[in-house]
Amino acid sequence: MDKIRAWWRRHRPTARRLAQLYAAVLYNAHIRGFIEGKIYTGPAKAVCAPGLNCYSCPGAIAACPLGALQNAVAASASRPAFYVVGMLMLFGLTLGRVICGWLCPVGLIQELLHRLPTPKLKKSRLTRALSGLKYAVLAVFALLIPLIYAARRTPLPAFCKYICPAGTLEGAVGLLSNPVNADKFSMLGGLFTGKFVIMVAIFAACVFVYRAFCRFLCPLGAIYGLFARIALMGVRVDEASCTGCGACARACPVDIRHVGDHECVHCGLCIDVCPEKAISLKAGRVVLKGPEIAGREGGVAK
Amino acid sequence: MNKTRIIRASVTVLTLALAVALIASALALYLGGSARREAANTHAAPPFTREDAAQALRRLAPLGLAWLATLLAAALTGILTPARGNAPGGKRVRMRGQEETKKRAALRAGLYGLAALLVALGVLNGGLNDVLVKAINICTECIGLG
Repeated sequence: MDKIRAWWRRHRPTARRLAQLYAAVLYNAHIRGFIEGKIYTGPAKAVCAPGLNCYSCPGAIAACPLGALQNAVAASASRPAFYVVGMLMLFGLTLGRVICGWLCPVGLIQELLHRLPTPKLKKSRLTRALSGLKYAVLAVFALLIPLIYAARRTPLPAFCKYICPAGTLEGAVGLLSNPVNADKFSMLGGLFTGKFVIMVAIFAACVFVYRAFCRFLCPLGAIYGLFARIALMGVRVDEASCTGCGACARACPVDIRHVGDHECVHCGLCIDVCPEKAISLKAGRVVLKGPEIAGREGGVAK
Repeated sequence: MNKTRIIRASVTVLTLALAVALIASALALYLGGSARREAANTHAAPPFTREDAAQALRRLAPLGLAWLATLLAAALTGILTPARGNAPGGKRVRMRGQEETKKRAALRAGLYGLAALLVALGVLNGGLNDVLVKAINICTECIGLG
């Protein structure tokens, strides 16, 4: 019993992990959908969830903001995308990339995969350069291609159609795993094969590279990163206490230059690592998580 | 070679093997199904069938189970890897402070107002309804079925 307790003390989930789990369960709370093999069609789907979660998942109770954005852009010839842009602004202004670190199911999957004990690719100039790729993915797949096809009156959510691993995992696999949807197998073809390969490659990469999808490909992270300096909530540095040792940036598993910049997912690892206790997770002026006197296991993100 | 190294090596090899096997199975299913269609000269028959997919999963099951078993071993021996940055040492970087200044708060308040206005306009111009209509229908393209 003591061994079990000791094991639990070492491995119990952190507040951040619990928030991620709760968010993943809440976004996909339509349990009946998994049992019946049908998606939820209630009014809650008019609201976007903050994180990436395919609305074709049988359990999804809210719309995906990225899918909604692409569809709104594709329909922008007839109707400006006010609603979706407004919702993204509200999420970005309030939470910014705290959503990525605390409220995204795909972020949770990536972090759990990264826990596998394998060799890991350290961050470098290459990963820093690759982190710019997600802005190109946003511009081309989430905005430009839907706009081009909007002009042709043919809606095409290009990121959802060609790249998004959440759609393949939650939508396709989620629906097809139910025998009720056996007839949908006839719809599988080259597109599904390509998306399946991309999904497996992305999740395999996440085992070796921390948050590979989040850092290099996710357009939603790119959007929320634009609000980095203005978001209400996030990790903040007390400039007066900072001595510039750089321990936070080195300990950070993503490609930040400064704590809280557009790459930061606000995991809070830097809070425990900072020798000057200059970093905290704040909402406005309210400190949500300050530095601990005894840091966790050498300051590792869990 | 100690236990930790054995488990690490096993997880690495099995993860890569499982990823390659999944990709190869998907490609084999699609190409095999397409070749069958071409041979039968019928484009009405789908390249994927549920039976083919089930058979492929059964073939992959031993590899998947081996992978899960090594994960369990890793979890029980406490060698799951937490996320880390790079090793200590390196250049000094003074972090940008982000104090909650009045200017920042005012800008945020203004943007909140704009966001609320956009949401209201979106509700009035039918944008909310568009999101609902899209979300309550399966997007077969988006999930690769179409």
